[in-house]
Amino acid sequence: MTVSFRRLEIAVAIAFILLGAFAAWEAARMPLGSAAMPGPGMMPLALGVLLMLSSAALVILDWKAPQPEAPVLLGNRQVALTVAATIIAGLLFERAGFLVTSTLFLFVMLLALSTLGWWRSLLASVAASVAALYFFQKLLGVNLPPLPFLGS
Amino acid sequence: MEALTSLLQGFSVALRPDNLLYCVIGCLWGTVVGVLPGLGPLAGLTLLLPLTYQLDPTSAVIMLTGIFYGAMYGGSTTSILVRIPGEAASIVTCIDGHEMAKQGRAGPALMIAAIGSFIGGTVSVIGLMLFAPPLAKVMLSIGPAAEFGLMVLALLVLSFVSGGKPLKTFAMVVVGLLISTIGVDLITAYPRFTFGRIDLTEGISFVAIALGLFGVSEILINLEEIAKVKVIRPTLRSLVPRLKDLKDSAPAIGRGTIIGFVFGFIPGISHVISTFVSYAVERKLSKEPEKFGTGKIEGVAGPETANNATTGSAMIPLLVLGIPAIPATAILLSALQIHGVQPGPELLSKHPDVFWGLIASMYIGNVVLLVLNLPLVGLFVNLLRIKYAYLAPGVLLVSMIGIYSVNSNAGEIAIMGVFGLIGYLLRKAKFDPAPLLLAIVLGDRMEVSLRRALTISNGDWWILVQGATSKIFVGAVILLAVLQGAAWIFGFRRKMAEDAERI
Repeated sequence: MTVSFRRLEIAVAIAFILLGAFAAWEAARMPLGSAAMPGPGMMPLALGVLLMLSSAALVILDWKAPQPEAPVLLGNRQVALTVAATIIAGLLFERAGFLVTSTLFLFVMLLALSTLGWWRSLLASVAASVAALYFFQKLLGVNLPPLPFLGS
Repeated sequence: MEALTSLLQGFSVALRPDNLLYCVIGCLWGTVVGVLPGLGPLAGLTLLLPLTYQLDPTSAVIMLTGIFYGAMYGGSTTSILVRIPGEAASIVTCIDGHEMAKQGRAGPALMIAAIGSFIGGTVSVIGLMLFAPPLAKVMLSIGPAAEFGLMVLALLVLSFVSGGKPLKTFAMVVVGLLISTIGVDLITAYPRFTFGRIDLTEGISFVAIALGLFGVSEILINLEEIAKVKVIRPTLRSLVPRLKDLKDSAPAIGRGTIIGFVFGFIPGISHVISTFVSYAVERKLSKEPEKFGTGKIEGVAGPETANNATTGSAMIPLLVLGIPAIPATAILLSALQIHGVQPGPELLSKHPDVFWGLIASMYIGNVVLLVLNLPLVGLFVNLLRIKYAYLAPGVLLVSMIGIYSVNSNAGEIAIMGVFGLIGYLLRKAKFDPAPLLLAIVLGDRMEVSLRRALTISNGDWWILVQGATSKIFVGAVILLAVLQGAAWIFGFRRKMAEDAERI
């Protein structure tokens, strides 16, 4: 997918305006204290407002300055899959245990990125996961989540 | 004399077989991540960070610092042989380094890069050793008002020197400061932006954010951009530079050392800027400026020396002030904190073994890199053959294990993924994530020092510009603004942009 750089820049700035607004709104409900003795809400409130202002300035400047519409490559199937696989692996990590999560993660990634095919991808994923488990847990003493039916 | 005795003591720590081993592992791993495109010092540090939890603080920091300067060495190899900068500080080396390689002079280019890196790295450690202790003494006497001024100065400098639009950098700093407010307020214990979740009371994991913003986003970008690489292979015999090469490079190495050391103090992307400045200076001073870009050895010697010379000076703000000047030292800061060592003016008195052991290990590390890297250059080049389809999942898996080992909290893996996507989008829109990361590190202390200062002054904001140290910081902000203007006039910025476009 390609988008124009200017649109992307404006989209990020608008996201920052929204983030600033949300932070300021949340912070306004915290104890603010006074200008002389700021409370816990004062700093986030000030930062939220500052973020809104600076990002709004960015949007205005971008809008005004006619820039050449340089297209930016924004994501492809591999990028989307990698992000999704990483987040899902995080959610599965403790529930399914390290061995299952790691094998699934590597399998999906290898299938998407490499030319190994189903069987070799699966074999490589299992082998790499077992090796990683041995190396990190046994040799380096990192505690990794056990398989759910084996763990306590 | 006192420094010399302490240094000797440091050597006795750094030369312990276990520490020596960690130093070698760090240097080698640093070189590997420096060589592999898409894995810079930051990803290298964050990946190994969790594995240091079992070590004592000195060993941990010795290994991690080894990664930091090892990556600076490694980056030049791929720049010269493949024309792919292994990390940002090696972009300039691509220009003349790769031209030299194409002319069959890869050996001298690599050798001069290694010698320059060694000299720059070693001299800057000497600078670190000489400057840090007296500076620490001064810093011990400053109060919260001056501390706040210092933080503001650091962040302002960051906005000035960062590559992109200043307004974008400013927005990134503000976002970073906002993220740093997540969790329990350090003064009143009031929960901010926690939404009732216990796991947010200590804020979002810094390691997860750093790994996401830098490690994962880099992988995502590489998934789109990695092309087939064509490697030029040097022979071992060709590594020997001619006498003329050494003679031509010597002044460039000298100037690169000074430029790198000075720029290392500046927060932000100092190590990258120093290479561009060094290249511009060499071209300006050269009798044949038109030959730059066609394989001039000065164009390799200067920038490569400069980027390694920043490593020592970049450690000074970290060790003496507790302020990381660049993202890589921010990771070192968090590593030290995890080990219960708070970098800052008290580091020298409270943990002299860590401080002097680290300095001694940096001397040793520079020798290790010089001795190991050149003979192993063929091996490192082979790393480039590993297909990204295998490398990317492997690196991500190790990152997951690393993050999980910090707090045994799998949610942080998902956070890493989310921040990976955020980092990817920010970089596509040319928002530099480095200021955001540094602002997260400094945010807490900045707010606490401001509120403490106001408590001391009974709410009088003038306290922030009173006192000699505060005035120095305010003066420094003005001075930097003037320097920034001067840099524009001399056209460093323009040259940087031109050079970047040529690559």
